[in-house]
Amino acid sequence: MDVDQEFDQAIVARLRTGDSSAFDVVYRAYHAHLFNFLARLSRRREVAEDLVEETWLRLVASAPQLRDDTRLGPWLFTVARNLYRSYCRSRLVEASHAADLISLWPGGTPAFTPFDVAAASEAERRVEAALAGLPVTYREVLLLVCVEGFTPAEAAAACGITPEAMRQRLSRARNLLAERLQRIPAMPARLQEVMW
Amino acid sequence: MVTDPSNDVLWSQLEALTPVVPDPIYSQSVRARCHAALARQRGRDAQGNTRVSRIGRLDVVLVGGFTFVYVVAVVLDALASYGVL
Repeated sequence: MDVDQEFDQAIVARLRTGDSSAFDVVYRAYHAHLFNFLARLSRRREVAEDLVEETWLRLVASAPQLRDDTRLGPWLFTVARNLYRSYCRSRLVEASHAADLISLWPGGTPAFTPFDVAAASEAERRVEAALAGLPVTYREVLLLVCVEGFTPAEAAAACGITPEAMRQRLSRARNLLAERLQRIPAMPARLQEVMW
Repeated sequence: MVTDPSNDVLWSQLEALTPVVPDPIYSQSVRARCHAALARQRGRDAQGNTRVSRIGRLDVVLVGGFTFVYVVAVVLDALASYGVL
């Protein structure tokens, strides 16, 4: 058993009794990560805010029933991911289609906003755009493993698939991302000069 | 299969993405709502425990009382059958 697991066990035991300070420890450790994950998955801040709140409320509601061996990180991300899936189903909107729709819009590639320029380097902007264009199934595995640092086995559990299926999905996601990156145009040099 | 993440430029670029940061005021309000929910839960649990412990005490008294009455009745019956009473 590693230290993290021992730490989780201690926190879970305290959470079961409704200990607010134990909740704060978990909240500080995971809130920003959960928000980042949901924001990148939904690509809408207000949706991420609603879903992250619901994730925390689910933890509070489920706290008395948590098992001793519950790993809080994977548990929270599984709930967050499932909530996002439910959100997509309820809205009948696959968020990843939005990027395709934008590319079909007359006028072609959308203009770069000052936010794009301020928020990220050129390379980062391109990776963000490519990631945003991926179907949710692939985006979520890349976010869990590469951005949030989950092991493929933990990500597989969060997504409800086998570790082998996760390895294949990660491989496809990586290839698809590389493919999409090549299709994203670089910011015109003249614009970069103006911005920097 | 996935290439070795340590040598993969794409993997490194994903790891280096600037995190999307939650609004601190909103985060604080979410935390407060969760604390309130925890407090409500603790209140419910405490009420439940009190009710259970009261019911538990009543059980003991009732079972003890009936057992005592039964034993006394058996003893009296036995004494009566031997003609002592």
